[in-house]
Amino acid sequence: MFDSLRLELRRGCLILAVLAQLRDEHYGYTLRKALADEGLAIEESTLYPLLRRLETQGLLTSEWREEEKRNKRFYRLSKDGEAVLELLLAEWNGINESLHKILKHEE
Amino acid sequence: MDLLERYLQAVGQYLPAETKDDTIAELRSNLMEQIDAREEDLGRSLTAGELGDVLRTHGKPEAVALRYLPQRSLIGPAVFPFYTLTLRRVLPIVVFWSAVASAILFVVSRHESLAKALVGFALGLWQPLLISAAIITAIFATIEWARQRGKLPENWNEWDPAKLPAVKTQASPDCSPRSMAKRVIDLCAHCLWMAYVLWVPWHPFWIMGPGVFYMDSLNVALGPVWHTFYALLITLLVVQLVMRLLAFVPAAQRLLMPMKVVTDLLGLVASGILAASSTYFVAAGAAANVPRIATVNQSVGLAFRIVFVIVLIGFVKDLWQYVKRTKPLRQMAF
Repeated sequence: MFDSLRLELRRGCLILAVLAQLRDEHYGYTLRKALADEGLAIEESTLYPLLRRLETQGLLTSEWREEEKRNKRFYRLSKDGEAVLELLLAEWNGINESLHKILKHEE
Repeated sequence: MDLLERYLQAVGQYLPAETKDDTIAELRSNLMEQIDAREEDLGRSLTAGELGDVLRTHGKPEAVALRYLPQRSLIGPAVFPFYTLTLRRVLPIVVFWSAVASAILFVVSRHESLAKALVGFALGLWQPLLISAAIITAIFATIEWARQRGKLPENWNEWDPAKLPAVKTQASPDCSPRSMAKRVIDLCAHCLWMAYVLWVPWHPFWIMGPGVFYMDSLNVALGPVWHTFYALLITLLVVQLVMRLLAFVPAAQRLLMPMKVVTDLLGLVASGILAASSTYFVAAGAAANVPRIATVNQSVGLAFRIVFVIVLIGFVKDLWQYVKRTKPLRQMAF
């Protein structure tokens, strides 16, 4: 029960976190590591398909490039992605503020 | 690294051809990066077991591949509630009309036995149910397809609060408890009716009137089917008596509706036994007019078949109401 609610709660937040993190260019592995370092661990099997989906939706761009003698696919926020991220962040801040108020009432 | 390639090959089996190579290349790159980092931490190459652990953590090949596929659902969550609601409303109607059609066929075909007709109905029911469900599914899948491509009119999901049904000011007559006086009168009337039914076989004049003397003159007697019918009738009356007594016990109110279904079923069986029989009157002496008795039996048989159809329709209707009341449909306004 708790696990499914937690998953539901995290789902939307993960997209926001991925978009925000990709304001700087990353490839899959380093993105996952960067998110984990910030305290938001995400499974590979969730992250990599999510990147593909966000790219299909036009929110990310990607390119294959060689780095350290290995071909890697680098992702970055697209122009559309930046606009969507702004809107999502405004929404997120609004929700966050409201939740803080609600939770304060309960204290 | 052979294990990694085997893993990637297994994932690739489930990916669409047009994106397979690209997805596999990216997976390989990310996994190798992960393996390199792990090896750097350990200061040595990974053993086959450790590599297996990395892959196991990454996920089962089928599950990994499925996450790369677009969401595939015939009917999505926005349309699904309307789909299930339609199924729940339409399928009972299909059952009802199939029952009516089978009953009419049973009445029309004089040579078919009741048991054969009932078995035929039960075995043949899956076909209209399956066809109806398939048609409804196809319609809703089309709606979903159109919705996903923005081909539905913008107001497809609009609804008008003014069209909501009026608030029910009192419970339906079946649910509202009857007054004490009505329950007492009902019980007394039922006891009198039972006494009459128990008494009348020994005093046939009180059911047939002067017809008794006419039957005697024709040398005709009642057939054995009436004995079976009488036993069922008494059972039915006893169950109804219990129901009338339970009507005085508030805690037992919830039993009344299922018991009504049971009495309806007994009534259905009783009328079915009469409809299935072909001998209602038998010759009681040598002077009896046998061809005439046969004609009367045929006419009475047709009448009982019609009665059976009416009782069957009533039973299906009551059963449907009982099921509806037990599992109420979600109230939706659209």
